[in-house]
Amino acid sequence: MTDASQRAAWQPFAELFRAHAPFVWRVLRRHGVAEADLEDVCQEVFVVVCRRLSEFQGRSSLRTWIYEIARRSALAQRRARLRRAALPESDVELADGAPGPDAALEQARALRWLEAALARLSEEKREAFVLYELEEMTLAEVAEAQGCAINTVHYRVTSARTELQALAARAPRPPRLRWAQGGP
Amino acid sequence: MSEPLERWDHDAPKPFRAAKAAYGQLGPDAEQLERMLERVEQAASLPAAAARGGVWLGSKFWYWLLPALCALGGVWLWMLEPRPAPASIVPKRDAIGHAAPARPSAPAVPAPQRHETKEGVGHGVPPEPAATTAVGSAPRAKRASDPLAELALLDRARRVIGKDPARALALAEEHARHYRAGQFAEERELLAIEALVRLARRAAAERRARLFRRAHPNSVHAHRLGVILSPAAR
Repeated sequence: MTDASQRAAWQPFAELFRAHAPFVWRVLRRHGVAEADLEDVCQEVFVVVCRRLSEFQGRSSLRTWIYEIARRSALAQRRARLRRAALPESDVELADGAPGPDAALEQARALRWLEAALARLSEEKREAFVLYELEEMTLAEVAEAQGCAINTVHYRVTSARTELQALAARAPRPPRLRWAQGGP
Repeated sequence: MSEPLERWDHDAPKPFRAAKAAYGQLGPDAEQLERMLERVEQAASLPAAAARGGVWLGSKFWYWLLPALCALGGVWLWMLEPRPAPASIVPKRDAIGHAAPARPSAPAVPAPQRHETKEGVGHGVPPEPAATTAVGSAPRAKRASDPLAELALLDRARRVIGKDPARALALAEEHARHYRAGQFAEERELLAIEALVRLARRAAAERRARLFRRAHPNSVHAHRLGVILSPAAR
């Protein structure tokens, strides 16, 4: 088989990879894989996906199945490194700050807020919330991924919303606001 | 049964809405994606990797590789597959050397297959296990889907779409007939839409794209679909 034909034969899996790799990346990161290791572990996940594709029987969605492989890979990698995964401690204020002049800066700020807020949730709530609200998996898929009932996922997501809503409602005055009102 | 739960949107706090808008961009950049894909291909493609001299070899590798090579040639050699299909994802020490922990069996949740196949182009009838199997693959007759066989069929379509889009479209329709409950319906539809664009059947392509978007509103292939339908793709 020539290289060109091999490349063509690989195309369907390549499309599957491109479709799911960002999701896997985020799962690994969220489960504590160090930034420097993300590429390697992400590659390993998809080698496993490729090898085990014949075992996939469609009892769950493909995304849930891939999620499980990624989660376990992250766990195995963390254990191998004897390092406890944790979201970074953040002292970012959780109030809604003034809009920045630059969209990218605003996005970065919003993501830092979200990361800090999610860190305050329990692991189960955080994962359910992220999978449902951000990764937009279905309730059934999240239940499958977490190994719990759909009602439990429903509770975790709505409870997380309540907590995040409360965090967003806290509004300590940011320093620059004081400056805007007459200087330091 | 729980009430349906809508995504947190209008009543979500502003920081969350802003973060969600940015969240989807988190991930590897294009260069990282292609680099990882190439390495996955090297690890999974023994002949090509052997030529480059950088392949990992392990005895278990052959259990995947031979069926995969035969699938690419259109012939299944299932007698060489040493292990029965597990009922669930049973953690084993995989070829990479990671020992994943054991996991309890799947909880009682509504059958995802029922959920995932009630939507989707070409899935207009209640799902039933795809009975189509490759020659000599009796052990697989009861499976609801056959991912490698699906990929092999879609691969054949992909290989000819440039020079014979009509043939590619026919192969995509064959996939729709044989794998109604298959896992690669979205990929099939993308191929079919691209084939229609190449055949200058623009209206049909856009009609099929509308059905795709309705059936898969959160598809990860949304961007690719836009590229296929863009005027520059003509």
